[in-house]
Amino acid sequence: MKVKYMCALLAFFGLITALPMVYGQLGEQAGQPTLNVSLGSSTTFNYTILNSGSTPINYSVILPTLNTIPNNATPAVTVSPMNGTLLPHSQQEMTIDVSMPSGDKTGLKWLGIVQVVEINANKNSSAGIGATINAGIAKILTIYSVAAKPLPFIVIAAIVVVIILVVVAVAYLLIRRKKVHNKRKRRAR
Amino acid sequence: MKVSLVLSVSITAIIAALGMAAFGLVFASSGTVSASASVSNSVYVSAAPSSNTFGNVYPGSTYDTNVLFVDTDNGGNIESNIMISGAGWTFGSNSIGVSNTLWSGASQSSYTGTALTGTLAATGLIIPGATFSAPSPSNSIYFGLGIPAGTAGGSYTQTITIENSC
Repeated sequence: MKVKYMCALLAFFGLITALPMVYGQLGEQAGQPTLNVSLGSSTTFNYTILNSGSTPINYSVILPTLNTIPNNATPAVTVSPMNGTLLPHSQQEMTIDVSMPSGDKTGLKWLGIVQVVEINANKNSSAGIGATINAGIAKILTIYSVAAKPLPFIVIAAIVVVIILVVVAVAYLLIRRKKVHNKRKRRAR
Repeated sequence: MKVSLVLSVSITAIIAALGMAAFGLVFASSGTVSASASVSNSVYVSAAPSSNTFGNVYPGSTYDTNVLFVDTDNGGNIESNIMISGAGWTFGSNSIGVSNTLWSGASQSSYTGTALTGTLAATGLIIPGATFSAPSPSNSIYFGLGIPAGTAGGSYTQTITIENSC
């Protein structure tokens, strides 16, 4: 009887030790974003966040607080998605979009941190003073303002062609009108 | 009987034909294929334990900077920088400033270290990239606490955020 009990106990502990560890594991693709953004336009940066663990991760994005520069507007930063759930062994592409105000000077630099934080449901309820830990991943975002890009050659060429066509059409109409006018004059005589 | 014999012969013939076809395919597959893969660099974060207690601390006294949290990168392959921030301690409507929590990269025998702030800040602590021999590199952060005199009694809690960046 005792042997049976011992065997059952051993089997139970063996099963427990054989079970895989259950945890969520938040990660991110390497690379810090440095964005050169033209005045009056926007630029995006994509990167991947990952969950290599065996439980889902609920995450939330904290937008960066960029430094302010006197007499210049601060670029607008948006991140998509702002929150979600990363299923086990899955990944999610994140998009950081930076819009540069058109009236800023060029060569300016802003710094901020885009954070993806795992929402921790564990709140310490034990007696005494306690700290709860949230884990997260961070991207240090560097933004530079650069001059607005000149129009590409094809756009300039198209504008020139349109102007030439308009001039030719107007000239043709004027000449034709003059001819008709002269004909009428001759007939009147 | 006849029917079963014919059936068994047919099945045998089919199996033989399939076998030959299979062998033919095996012998014929002498080509080579190439495969390529690009391994991306990444880091992971895992802070443990998920909560820790400083026990009972009296107003006007301190707790040495030796409450340990370990930041582990399970599965990454590149060096990462540890950053931390925190929120103030709260107990109902009572609060203690976030800067009363100090942190240090080494265990201290007194209440000493860098004050925690509400803004995410670089610690200067690094988790090295994983290797085959050390697949889960980690680094430690120790916390201490000072309770200002006159603080109302209660079970205060604080949230500390540990982030890895690469």
